[in-house]
Amino acid sequence: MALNKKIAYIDLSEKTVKMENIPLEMRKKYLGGRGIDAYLLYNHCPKGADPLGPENVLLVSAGLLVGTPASASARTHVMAKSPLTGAVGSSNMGGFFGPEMRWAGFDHLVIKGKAEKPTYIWINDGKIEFRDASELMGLAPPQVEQAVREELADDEIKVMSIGIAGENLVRFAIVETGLKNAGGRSGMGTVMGSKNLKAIAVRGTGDIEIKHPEEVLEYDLNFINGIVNTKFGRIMQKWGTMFIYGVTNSTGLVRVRNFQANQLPASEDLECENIEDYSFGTEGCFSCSLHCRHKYIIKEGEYAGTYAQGPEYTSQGAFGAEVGCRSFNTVLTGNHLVNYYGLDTLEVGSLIAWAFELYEKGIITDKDTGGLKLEWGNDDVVLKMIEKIAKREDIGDTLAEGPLRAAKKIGKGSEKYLIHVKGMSNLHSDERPTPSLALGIATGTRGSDHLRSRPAIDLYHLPEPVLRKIYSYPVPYDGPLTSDYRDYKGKPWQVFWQEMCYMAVDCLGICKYHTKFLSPNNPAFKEWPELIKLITDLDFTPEEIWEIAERAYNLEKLFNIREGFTRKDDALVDRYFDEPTPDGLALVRGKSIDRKKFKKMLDEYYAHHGWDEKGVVPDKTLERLGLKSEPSNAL
Amino acid sequence: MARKTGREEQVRCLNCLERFKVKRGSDKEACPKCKMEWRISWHHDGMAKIRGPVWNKVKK
Repeated sequence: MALNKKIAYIDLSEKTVKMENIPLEMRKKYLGGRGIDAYLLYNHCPKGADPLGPENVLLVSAGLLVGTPASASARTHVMAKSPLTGAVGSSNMGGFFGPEMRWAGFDHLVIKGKAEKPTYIWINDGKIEFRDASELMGLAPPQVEQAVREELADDEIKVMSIGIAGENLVRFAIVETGLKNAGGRSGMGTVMGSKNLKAIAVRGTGDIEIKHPEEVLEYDLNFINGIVNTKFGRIMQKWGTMFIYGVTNSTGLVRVRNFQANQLPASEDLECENIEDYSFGTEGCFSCSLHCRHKYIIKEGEYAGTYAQGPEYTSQGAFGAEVGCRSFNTVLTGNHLVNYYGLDTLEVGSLIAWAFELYEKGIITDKDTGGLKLEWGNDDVVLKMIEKIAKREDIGDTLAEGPLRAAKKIGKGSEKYLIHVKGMSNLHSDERPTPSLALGIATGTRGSDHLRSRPAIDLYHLPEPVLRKIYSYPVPYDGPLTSDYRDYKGKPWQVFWQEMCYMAVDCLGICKYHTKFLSPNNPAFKEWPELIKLITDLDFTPEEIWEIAERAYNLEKLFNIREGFTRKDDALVDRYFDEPTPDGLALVRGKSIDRKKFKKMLDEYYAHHGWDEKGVVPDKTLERLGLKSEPSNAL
Repeated sequence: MARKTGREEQVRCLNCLERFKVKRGSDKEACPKCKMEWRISWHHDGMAKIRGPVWNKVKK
């Protein structure tokens, strides 16, 4: 049944494996996925551990509903102490790896130590072994998957692996499965590389018993019909997340030339409609009806003829607006290259843009760049920089260390041009006119987070009664709410609510596009209990799911506090406050974040969380959430 | 075929936030309230979406 999957403790140094059942009590407290991983990280990663050392623990999990008929139940979660930030490292990917891992009998992997030589873990229907990965080194993740399938003579094997960026310990290397499903943020691929772990391969022919199969199919059909019939769902099916650019750039909510502008005029060639000239269809993840991932072939340049998938909104920024480029071919090529080398597209784009601004201002020169002209709009240079970062060549070696270490190495005041939170670069959205989005990125537990704290529906100008219906359930809220995304009122509650929503969906292993992220009409706390009941027979109320999310989120917060993060780290760089937006529509022009109002928002946000004014979790909140005895080492 | 919402041929002006109707198949429309001109694209379901501004009409 859905609850009988195991946890495997894998020691790469000793080459040992221990398997245990997951107590029902843990499910009731944390559900699964990111929830149990938060517990495992806090309990298994010692304070002060070197993120690149053997003590760091790499956690790989599938959420409670992954691999079942639940719509979009595809997500694999990866967690460790981040080598980029030193805080919680956490990332989430789609595809088919998580379901296969569950069918193989496992929900959670806890990987410690460091292999003596390049290794991959092979999980096959309940058995786990260590295999030599020396022939896989230097291969891109899709090539790794192919090679493993050939070696083990099974085309159904799913592989999660790292590219050369992970092998080279680039601090924002990704984990990847398939052609494009990436766990991108916070350097989880780097942790794998530091353990000499090239890949994890899984094959499972086992079952997940569904308690009420006919009822769940009927219930889920309502989910699916609801989601695919929203305006958002239909747009996603046609254009993927790239549709967001049409809204944000038109308004003036994108970061251009590394924060020097907030709109890229005459950038029709970056708009999502261009994918229609390249795409020959879309694909989806396990159990998903949206199929938001385009399949395309690059038409021009050095990589003409290459097949790839995507791209996402992040690549329109990374290889478009942020670096002043206007070529859709560059976006498509850049997307392919980051997946090929195994790099976080968002981090890469932000760091390249930062380097371009430093070059513009003479802080770095041709001597630092190996002769490359880091000039805005230079498509060839942007694409070359991706390779340089992956291979740690010239300036790429410096940028591969991530924003803070790179700035320390360059010096000369370069840090003040960084756009980051807690040492992780920001998405290319410009949050100066949107206080809710600004607060969300500042307070995210893994650093700048455009996904797990983002009240994206704040941009939709929804009427106040609609907002109240969403944000007053399942926990009552009678404070202010406003349709105006430029207003500060009520935004701390919206950020807090969305954090709980995303944590819950990450515990279940369902895609965020199937909750109240980009559509206010999608399922959330009200709908999940019935789904969980029909699949597992576990009973939860919406309020209990909220409490589980709070509990897990507080463990992430406790981890960060233990690692030395304080209120001063829940912050935005000075540019957000000191440089008003120069461009965009009248309603967003001349906007910057107000320091006093931001401080007030942060105070209110902490209060909603039950934290004190320093952002510390007091005993009262620990007791309420049953965390007083943590770390408890129960799992 | 997707369920109709009744708002397929409406878009919301990003400038003044007013909803307005667009002519089916049109690739350019001006907001009746603020007069900002928008390029329109269409989902095969007959649903309109703002693609972006008419850039040469955007005030600097």
